[in-house]
Amino acid sequence: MPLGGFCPLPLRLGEGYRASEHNRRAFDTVALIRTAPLAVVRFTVASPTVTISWYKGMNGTGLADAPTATSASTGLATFTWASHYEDELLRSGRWKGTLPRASAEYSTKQLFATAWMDSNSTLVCSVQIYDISSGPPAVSEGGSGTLVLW
Amino acid sequence: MTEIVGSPPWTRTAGAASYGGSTTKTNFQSVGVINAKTDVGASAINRAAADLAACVRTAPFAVIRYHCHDSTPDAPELDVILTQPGITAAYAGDYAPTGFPSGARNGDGDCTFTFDASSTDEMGVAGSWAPSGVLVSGATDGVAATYVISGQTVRVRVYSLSTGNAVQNAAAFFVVW
Repeated sequence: MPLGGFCPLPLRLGEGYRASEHNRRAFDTVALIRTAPLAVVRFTVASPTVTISWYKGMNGTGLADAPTATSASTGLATFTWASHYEDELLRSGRWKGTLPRASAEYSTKQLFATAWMDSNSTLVCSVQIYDISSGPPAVSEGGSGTLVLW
Repeated sequence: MTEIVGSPPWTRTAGAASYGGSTTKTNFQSVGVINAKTDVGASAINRAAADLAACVRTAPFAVIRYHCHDSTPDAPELDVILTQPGITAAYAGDYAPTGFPSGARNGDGDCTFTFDASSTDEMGVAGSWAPSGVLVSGATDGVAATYVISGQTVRVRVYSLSTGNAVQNAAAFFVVW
């Protein structure tokens, strides 16, 4: 019986790919999965329009896989993902966001962003852009930013 | 010669196939794992490949904490530097080690960090990268931070939330994708 990576699957651990190496890869991969973001979105909000310019998600890469984006009020961007996505091997899994964080991009004003999950859904999160150019935060007319969802 | 498929993770070009995953991958002659202590089957390889590809898509390129030198104007000090190509000890922004971002002072609480357009992984494979998204935060109470991406640079400014003024000697961190 051949050993290691040269035998047909199932792979028999041994020379070439040892059990210790396989375990290190397996545990490291699981550790990455635990803390990796679900999605990273770069966007611009100019109410009532939200434009996504860059998207990387565990569900895929590019605008075709990005969430829908809407704006219901000034400087507010709301992102909605589908309830399930398939991975590259066509297995479907539930989308469950837990923690959003956002930062605003400086244009001509000092902007500040807050992000939160919808209280009734793990699929919807929102970002509010604030203007802090002249003191305490005030709702901004719009702006750009990055949203990261874990 | 080192055998490796694809490009480094920061190019974000890897898919499950890069790690051996395939919708048609099966065990030889459809005989599954005989001994779970010694064997790894096609289903486990596929799951690991798809999960790793998903993580690589969303993993940050770098996590950096720094502090500004404004009282006596000087380049910022990078205190924590975690990047996909490597990790290094703290350094002054104008003396960046090879392969790590430099940092320059623009004004009070205002710094620009410049990243290499290409980095090499541990297997000797080079891959290009440019900033695409940033999370930034002041590292002290009562401040906010904004960012600007331009080419290979990330500019971070730190402001007081109560006055809107730039914060001197600010400490901040940012995560860049």
